Amino acid sequence: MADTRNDWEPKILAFLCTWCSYAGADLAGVSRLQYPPNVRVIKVPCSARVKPLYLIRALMEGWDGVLVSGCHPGDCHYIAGNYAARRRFTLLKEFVEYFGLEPGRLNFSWVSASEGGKYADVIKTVVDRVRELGPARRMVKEYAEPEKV
Amino acid sequence: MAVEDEIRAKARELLASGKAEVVVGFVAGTVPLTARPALIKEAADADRLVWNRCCTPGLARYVLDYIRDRRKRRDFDAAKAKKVAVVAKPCDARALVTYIQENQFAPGDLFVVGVHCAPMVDRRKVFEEVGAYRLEEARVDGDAIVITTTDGGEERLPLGDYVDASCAVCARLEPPLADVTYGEAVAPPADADPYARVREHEARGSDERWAWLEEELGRCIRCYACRQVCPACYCEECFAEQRNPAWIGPATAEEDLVAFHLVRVFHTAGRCVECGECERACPMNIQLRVLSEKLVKDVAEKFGYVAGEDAEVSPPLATYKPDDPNEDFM
Repeated sequence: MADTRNDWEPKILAFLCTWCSYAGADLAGVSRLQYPPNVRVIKVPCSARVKPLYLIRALMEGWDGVLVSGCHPGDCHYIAGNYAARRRFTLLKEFVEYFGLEPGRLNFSWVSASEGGKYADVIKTVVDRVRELGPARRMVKEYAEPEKV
Repeated sequence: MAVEDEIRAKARELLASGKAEVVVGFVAGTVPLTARPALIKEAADADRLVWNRCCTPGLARYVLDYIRDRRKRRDFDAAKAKKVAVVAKPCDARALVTYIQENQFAPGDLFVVGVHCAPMVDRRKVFEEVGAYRLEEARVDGDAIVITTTDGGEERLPLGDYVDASCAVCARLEPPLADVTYGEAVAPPADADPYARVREHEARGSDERWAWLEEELGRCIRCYACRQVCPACYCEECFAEQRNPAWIGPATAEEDLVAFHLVRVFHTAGRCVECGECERACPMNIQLRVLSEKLVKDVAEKFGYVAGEDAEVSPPLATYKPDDPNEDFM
């Protein structure tokens, strides 16, 4: 992974809330907006559905960057899920950086269903940020290959 | 009357009158400078209770476990249940407040015998100085720890030099939840900074912080002592031991150690009562409070919340304000 630095491309894992950010990503697609293809998306019911453990596990599995995106504050489908997520991730980001992880590995954003353009911009920003940092090094665990049956 | 006598008298009264079915307190430990948590159920046993400068273990978890176990008994009748009494330092009382906030039991289940806090002795420092095997007996006499050694000698150590690191900077001397309160509080020095080690770690660069972490957490043997003593860690099943899905590995690979401590401490965000038990329990002397204190500091700074002060208030991660910090979100 790390030794082929020249042709290395960042891999970003994105948790998108189904009501806003996922629809925003969809809109970016149907609007044929160009954005880097380095992102893999997991659809979640709400940004508050994302446990810190999921992000830590993603880092352990070698994802170079992680993004969590939800509805703008005040627009949550579940009234206050994103407010809860905001408190949680504000603490988590600071805490993970306090551990010594590079700022920029964990990213958070608000993207509404009508903001296809913003979604494309967010992905560009995150990919640029992570490209700058280089491949993930800290927290990355070497998992044994599953046995072939 | 000495605090110890007041506690004994109260315990005797509570048990004899049938107001409480158990008093959770301390009895003398078998090793010098230790006190052992105990459940006292008979009024005649009340005189076994002790109170001294070595009562470091947290008692809140014993209360929670007792109430949980009691509820599982087939003959348990909530309407007839007597109170569970507990001898509580301020940090124990704060942990009890978080349990009430988290609906683990009702305030009416408890009778809290609060004790104003005086800093506890860090027995490891004393053992190191004197040699654990030379120590025959020890007691605290005013401002000195009086040691009797196995060869019959007597040594006096200044108490101030052997105070537990958490107690030395703790300014929360008043139990926030108490039916009666005994003793006199001893304030820490005015310049004591509870976040001194956090600030020191924050001042390091990212690489240096990671190197420090690798060195500290690299010693971890995954004994889970920090989790077992932590008043905030009372999940019936810990994420570290879930095997389907297995979030983190069970062994001591560096990444698993970091992930375990990161997530465990993060789960105490807004709930940590700064008792320092994690650090005292750690057999490898890992500076765990450098991690947990960071979250205490951030929660106070960002959300203006201090854990375990008021049972009526929602914990910070269970509530929100529309104008919470937003700068981390694009």
